Amino acid sequence: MGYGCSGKLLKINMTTSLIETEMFDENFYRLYPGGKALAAFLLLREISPSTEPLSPANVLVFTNGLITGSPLTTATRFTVAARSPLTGAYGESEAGGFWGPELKFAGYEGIIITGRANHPVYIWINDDKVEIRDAGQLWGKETEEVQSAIRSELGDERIRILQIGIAGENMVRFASLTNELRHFNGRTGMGAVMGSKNLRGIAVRGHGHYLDLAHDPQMVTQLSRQFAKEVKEHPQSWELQDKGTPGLMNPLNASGLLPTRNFHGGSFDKIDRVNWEAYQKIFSVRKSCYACAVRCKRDVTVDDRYKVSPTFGGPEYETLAALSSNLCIDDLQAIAKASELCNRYCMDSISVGGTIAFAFECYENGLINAAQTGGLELKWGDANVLLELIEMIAHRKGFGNLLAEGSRRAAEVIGRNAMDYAIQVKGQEAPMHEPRGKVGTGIGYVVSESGADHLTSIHDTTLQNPESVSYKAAQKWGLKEAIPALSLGIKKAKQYLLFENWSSLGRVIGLCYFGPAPRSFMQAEEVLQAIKATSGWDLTVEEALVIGERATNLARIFNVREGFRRADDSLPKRFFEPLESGILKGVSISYDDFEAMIDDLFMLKGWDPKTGIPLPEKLLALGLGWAEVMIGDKR
Amino acid sequence: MKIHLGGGLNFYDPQKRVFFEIKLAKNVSLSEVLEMLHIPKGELFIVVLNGEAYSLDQSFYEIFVQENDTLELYPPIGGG
Repeated sequence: MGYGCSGKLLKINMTTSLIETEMFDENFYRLYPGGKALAAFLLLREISPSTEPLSPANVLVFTNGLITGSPLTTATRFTVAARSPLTGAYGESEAGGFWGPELKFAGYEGIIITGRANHPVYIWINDDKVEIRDAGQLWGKETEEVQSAIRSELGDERIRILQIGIAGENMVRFASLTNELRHFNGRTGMGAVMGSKNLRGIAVRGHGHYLDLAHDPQMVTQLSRQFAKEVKEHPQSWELQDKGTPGLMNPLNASGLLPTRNFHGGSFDKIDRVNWEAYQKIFSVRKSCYACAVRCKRDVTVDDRYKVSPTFGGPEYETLAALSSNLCIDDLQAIAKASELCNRYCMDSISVGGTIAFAFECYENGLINAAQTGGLELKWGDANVLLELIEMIAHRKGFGNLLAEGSRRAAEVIGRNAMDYAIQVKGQEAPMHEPRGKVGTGIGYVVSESGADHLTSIHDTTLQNPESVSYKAAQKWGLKEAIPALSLGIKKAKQYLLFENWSSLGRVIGLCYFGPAPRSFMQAEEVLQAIKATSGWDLTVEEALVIGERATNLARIFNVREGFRRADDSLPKRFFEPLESGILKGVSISYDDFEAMIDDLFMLKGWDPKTGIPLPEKLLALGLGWAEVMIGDKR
Repeated sequence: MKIHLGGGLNFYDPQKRVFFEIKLAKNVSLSEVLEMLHIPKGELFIVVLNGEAYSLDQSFYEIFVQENDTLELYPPIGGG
C-alpha cells in the first residue's frame, strides 16, 4: 500500500551529465510532503549561501506535491524553485497543466538540476530511462516549434514538455517556464535560471498510474467524483468555471481594488472595454489542467487589427489587469496580443506589466526620455508601445535590456527618485491586488519569501461577513472572528497567519489555490480526506496547517541565510499614500500601524520581530532543529 | 430596471442571468430586490446604482431603487 508518492527524485548534473536517483521515505514525506516543502528543503541542502543565481552553482529543483497527478480536481500543481535572479531570495513558482502529473506517472516526485551544460540540451525522461539530448537546433526557436520538434524526434505526441522560451534563453530576470505552451510557472524568474544552465526543456512520458501509489485508491476515486460534482454546486468554483478569472475584472473595479495607472488608482474608467463582457468577443474555448473540473482557463482568438493565436492560452485576470488598467490601456485586442507575446516568449506577465508601468511613470516624470528609449515615447494608454517594449525586453534589445532586469534594478540604474515608481517587494513586481482595500494582501506582499505575492493567504474582503459562505468555510479552518478588510492590528495578523498556513499547505501537497475553501469549494474536512485517501495519514486541521507553516519557515531560513532581514519586509511607499480613484479614493495604509502589525505577526509566527529570524524554539517545534546551524549565528 | 449580477452572484439566480431587466411596479428597497433574485445578503459586497458605488453598511439595504435604475451587484473576491 502506497502513501501517494514514489519518494524518488532525479538528480542531474548538467556539467558532468551524471544522472542519479535519490529516495526519501514516508517518515521524511510526513514532514515534507512535496511541493514547496520539498523544494525549500532541497534548496537549503543543495545551494551554498551567496550563490550567484545565474551561475552554474545555483540549483534548480522541480517538485510534485503529495496529491499532484491524482484524479482529484485541482490537484495539478508542481513547484519550480531556485535562488531567484529577480530577488536574490528564495525563488518559487507553481504551475498546473499536465507536466507535474506526467512526471508523477513516470515515477518521480522531483528533479534536482545542478551545474551548467556546455551546450544547449534538453532532458528526456521516459519512465526509468533518462537521457540528456542535444538542443542545439532548438535554441532560439519559439516554444510551439520546440514542442513539435521534440515530440517528432522522440516519436510520441503524448510527451509532456516543460520548457523555457526565448526570454529564458536571454536570461530575462522574470522569465517563466511553460508546459503544453499555455500553463506557466510565471514568477521569480525561474526561466532565467533554467536558461543559465543551457537547459531548454524537460520532456516526460510516464506510463504509471497515480492510483497505484495511493493508500486507498477506491476512496481517491470516490472523492474525485464528489469533488467534480461539488465544483458546480459551489458559488465560487461555479463562477471560476463559468467565467474564468476574467470575471474578476468587474467586481474588483467596482470595489475600488483594480490597480490602475501603476497603483495610483483603484478603478479604471475604461473598464467596459476590458472586462469579462468585452472578453466574450475574443473568447474561443474553455480549457483546463489535468483532471480538473473547475476549468478556469480560457483561450482567445483574434483575427482583426491584431492576430492572436489561441495556442498560448488567453489572458487571465492578473495579465488582463497588469496590461490594461495598470497601464491605462483599453484596447483588448492589443492586450490579448501582448499577453500572447509574454506567453510565446515565456515571461511573467505580472512583472512585464509592472516593469512597463514603472517605465511609463519614469517617463512621465522626466527621469527618462526618448533618447534613452530608442525614440519610443512612453505614454499611459499606448498599446503599440506596450507591444514594442515586450519584444525589446524578451530579446534584450536597446532599452528593453534595462527593463529585462526588472523594475528594482532598472530604478537603481535610472537613479533619483525612480525607486518610488517601482511597485515591488524584494525586487518582485506587485500582483494586481490593491492592499489599501485588503490589508491582509499587503501583509502577504511583504512577508512572502519570494517577493510580492498575492496567493500567500486568503484575501480579507471575503472574511468580513459572518453570514457569508466564505466565512463559514473559514471557520472550519479555525477562524474565530470576522474582521473588516481595512482594519490593521493583531487580529488581522492572526487571520493572515491562519490562511498563510492554509495557502502554504496547498503549495506543498499540490492543490491549486482554486481548490480549497474559503477561496473555492473544497471544505477543510475534504482536504483532510484527500490527504488520508492518498497517503493514509489521518491529520487534524491543526496538523495539516503545520505542514504549511513548516514549508514557510524553510523558505524563510533560506532568506535569512542570504541576508534578508525584517527591514526587507516592507511595502512600497505608494501604499501609504491615498488611492486616487474608485470607491476607496483617499484611503491609505498607516505606515506605523502596518509596521506594528508585522511585528505582531512575527511574534505570532515565533520569529524575532526585530530581525525576522525564526526563533530556536519555533524551529524545534516544527521539527526543523537541524536548520539552527544555518542561521544560529545570524541572530 | 436593468440588473447586472457580477462576480458569480448569478449562481443564486435560478436562471443564472448575468445581464437582464426586471419590471418594478413600485419603488422597492435593495433588500426586496435581493429577495426577488434569491441572493443571500451574506454574499453581497458592493452595489453600483446608476454608476455610483456603495460599500456595505447598515443603511445599505435601505437604498430604494426604481424602474429606470441600473443596478450592479458584486460579491467580494478571494484572490486569484
